Amino acid sequence: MTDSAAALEATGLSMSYSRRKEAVLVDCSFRLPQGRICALAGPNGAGKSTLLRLAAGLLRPSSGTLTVLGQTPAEARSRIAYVAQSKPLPPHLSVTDTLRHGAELNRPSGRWDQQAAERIAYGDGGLKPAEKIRSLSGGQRTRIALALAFGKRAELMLLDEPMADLDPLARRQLTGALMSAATEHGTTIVMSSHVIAELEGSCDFLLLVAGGRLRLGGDIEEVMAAHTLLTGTSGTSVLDTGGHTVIDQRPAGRGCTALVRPHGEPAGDWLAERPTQEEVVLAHLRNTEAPPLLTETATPRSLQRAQRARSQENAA
Amino acid sequence: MTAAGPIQFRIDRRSGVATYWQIVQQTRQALRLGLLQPGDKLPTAREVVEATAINPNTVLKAYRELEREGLVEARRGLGTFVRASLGTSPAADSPYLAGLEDWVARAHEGGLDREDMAALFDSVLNKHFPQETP
Amino acid sequence: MSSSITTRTGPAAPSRIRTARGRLLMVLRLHRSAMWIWIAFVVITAAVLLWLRFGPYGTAAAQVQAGCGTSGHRACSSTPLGADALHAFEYSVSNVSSLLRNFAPVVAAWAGGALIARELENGTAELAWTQAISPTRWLAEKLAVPAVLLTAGTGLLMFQFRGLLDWAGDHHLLRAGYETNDLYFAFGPSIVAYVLLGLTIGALTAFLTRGPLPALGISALATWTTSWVINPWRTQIWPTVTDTAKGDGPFGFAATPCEWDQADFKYSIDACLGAQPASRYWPVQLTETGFVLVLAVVAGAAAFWLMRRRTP
Repeated sequence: MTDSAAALEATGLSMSYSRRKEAVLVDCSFRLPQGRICALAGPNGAGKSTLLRLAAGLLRPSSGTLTVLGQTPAEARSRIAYVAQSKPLPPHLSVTDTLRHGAELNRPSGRWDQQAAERIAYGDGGLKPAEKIRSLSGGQRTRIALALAFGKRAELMLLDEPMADLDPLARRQLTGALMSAATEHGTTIVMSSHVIAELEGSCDFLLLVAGGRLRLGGDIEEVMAAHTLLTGTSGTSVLDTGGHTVIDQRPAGRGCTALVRPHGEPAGDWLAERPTQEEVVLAHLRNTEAPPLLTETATPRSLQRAQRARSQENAA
Repeated sequence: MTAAGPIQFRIDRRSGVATYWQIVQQTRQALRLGLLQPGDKLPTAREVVEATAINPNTVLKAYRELEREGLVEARRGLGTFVRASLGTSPAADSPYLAGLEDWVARAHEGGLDREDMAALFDSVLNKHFPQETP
Repeated sequence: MSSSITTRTGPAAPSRIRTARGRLLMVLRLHRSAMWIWIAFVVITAAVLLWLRFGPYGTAAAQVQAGCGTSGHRACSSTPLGADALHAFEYSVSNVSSLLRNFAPVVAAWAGGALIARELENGTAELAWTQAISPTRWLAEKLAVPAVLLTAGTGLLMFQFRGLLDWAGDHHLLRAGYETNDLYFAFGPSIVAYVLLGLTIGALTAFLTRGPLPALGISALATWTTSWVINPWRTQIWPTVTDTAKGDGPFGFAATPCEWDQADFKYSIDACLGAQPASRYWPVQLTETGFVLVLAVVAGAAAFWLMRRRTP
C-alpha cells in the first residue's frame, strides 16, 4: 500500500472540557485507513460524539494530535462532512431553501452535487419542497441533514448516531445510499451508535470507545478472528489461561464460558467457537481492565515505528 | 429471449452464514433454477449495496469467489457476467436418489425424526466439504 | 477505488461578484424577518419624520411662531398662552428623539440573541462551519451584512432628523434649555456608531453567555449603559466659552452658561444654554463617533478571539 494519508489518525488524543471535570477522551491512538466504513461504537457518554467533533474541527484537543486526510481538521474542512446528533438545520427555512443554503455554504470549495442531495432529501417521496424544517419529524430532519452531507461530496463522512430517528425502511434506504456512495467514490464513512447490532453488515472497521478510552480498533474481520469463545466442560471452574488473554469469563452451568484472545491452542478440554460481534463488544464493555486491541492497520504510523524500534532493540 | 431484470439478494444477518457466502449460494441457486443464464449481467456492487445496505467489500468478495469458481467473469468497464451454467435440478431418475430414499426410509423405521436425520446428513456433508471460514 | 469528485456547480472558480451576491442572499435568507422588520422601521420612522415636518403638527407650530422676533412682533421666546400646536410639535420631536437614541440596545439584543447565540445553541453555526465556511468567515459575514443595512438605514434617519431639527430651529419652534442643547449635539453619525457598537456587543455577549436569552438581555443592558456613561461627557470634554455673544449657540440661542437658577428649568427663560457654540457640533460628533467606533472594533475583535479560542 502506498503511503496515502489515513482518513483519521490520532496519537495520544485527549480531551477534557474543563480542568475540573473528568477527561472525556484519554490517550486515544488509532488509524482509520481511507475507504473503510467504520462503526464507532460504545455506550452513551463514552466520548464518541467528542471524537467526531474533534475530527470535524469543531473542538481543540486538550493534548495529542489528530490528522484528517493528512491535514489538520480545520484545513480539511472542505473534504469532511459532519452530521451532529441533533441534526441541526435552520428551522424557518423550507426544504428547498435549505438545500440551496447547503449549495451556497459549499460555494467556496466549488463542489456541490445538487442531484445527490435531492435524491436523498426527496428519496421516499414523503417530503414536499415547500415544507418548513420546523414542521418536519425527526426522521425527515435526518434525511435533510444527510442530504446536505451527501451533496457536499466529501471524502470523509462523520455521522453521529445517524440512524437514531429512522424507521426501518428509511434506515435501509439511507444505509444503502451510504454504501452506494462508498462504492462509487470510495468515501470513508464513520458512523457512531450505541446499538452495535445496527451497524453489523454494513461496517468493515470497528472503533470501540468506552470510558473515554479506545478498547478495540481494526478491521472487523481481523478483530473477530483474534477472539475465541471457549466453553469449559464440567470440572474446570477456572480457566487455564496458558498465555491467553481473558477478556470476560462467566460461569455456565458446572463449567464456565470465556471470551479470550488466544495465543496458541487452548490447553485442556475446551469447546472453541467463533464469537459474534455483539459478544466481543459486550465482553470488552463489561471488563474495563481488558487490554485494548489495535490491529496493525489500525495502529498509527508513529506508534508502528516506535513498536518496530522497540522490537529491534529487544532483538539486538 | 427476455431481458434479465436485476437478481435480488436476500441477506439474513442472523443466520450465522457469512454474508458473502449467502450471495455466492444465492447466485448458484439462481443459476440452477434458470433465473440466470450465461451472458446475463449480475447487478453491480453499487446496486447490490444500495438495495441490501451491506458493505461493498462483501459483494466484491462474493463476486471474486464466483469468478474463482468459474461461474462468472468480470469484464472491465462493462460489469460482471454469467459465464457457465450449473446443472438443473437432478432428474427424478438420478442414480443417487434411490439410495437416499432407501436410507431415509430405514432411518425413519429406526426411530430417527426429521431433525435427527438432517443433523446426521449435515455432519457427514461437513466432513466431506469442510466449510470455508468466512 | 477511484476518487473522482464531480463538480456539479458552475466553473470551478466562481466569479467574485456571484460569490458575494450568493453569500449576501444566504445571510439575508437566514434572517429574513429581521431584515423586513428593520426596513419597516426605517420606512415608518422616515414617514413619521416627513409627516412631522409637512403635516399638521409642523405647519401649525410654524404658524404660531410666524413672524416672531421681527419688528412689531413679540419675541420668539415668549409664546402666547394656549399655543398647543407648538407644545404638541415639541413633544413629538422629543419622542422621536428618544426613540432614535434608544434603539441601539434593541439592535444589540437582536444581534446577541437571534443573530449569533441562537445559532450557536441550535447548532446551525456548526452546520455552516462543517460545510466549508471557516468560523472566522462565518462571523465576518454575519456582522458585515447587518452592519451595512444598519448603517444605511440609521444614516438615512439621522440625515432626515437633522434636517427636521434645522428646519425647526430656523422657524423658532424649539425652546432653549438643556434638553434642546442635548438634542443639538447628540444626533448625527454618533448614533450610527452606537448602533454598530450594539451589533458587536451582541456578538461578543453571545460567545460569553449560554443561550440566546441571557445574550439578549446582557447585550441590551451593556449597550444602553455605555451610551448612558458617555452621554454627559459629550460636551464636557471641550472647554467652555467665556464670551457672551448671542446667536452663537445651538439653534441660534446664546452660548453662555445659564445662571444657576435658570439651569433648574427644563426651559430657560433667557435663551441661555450649556456653553458650547454651535460650531463645535462637528468636533463633538466626530470625537464621539470615533470613540464609540473604537469600542465597537474592540468588542468585535474580542468576539472573534473568543470564537477562535473554542473552535480551531
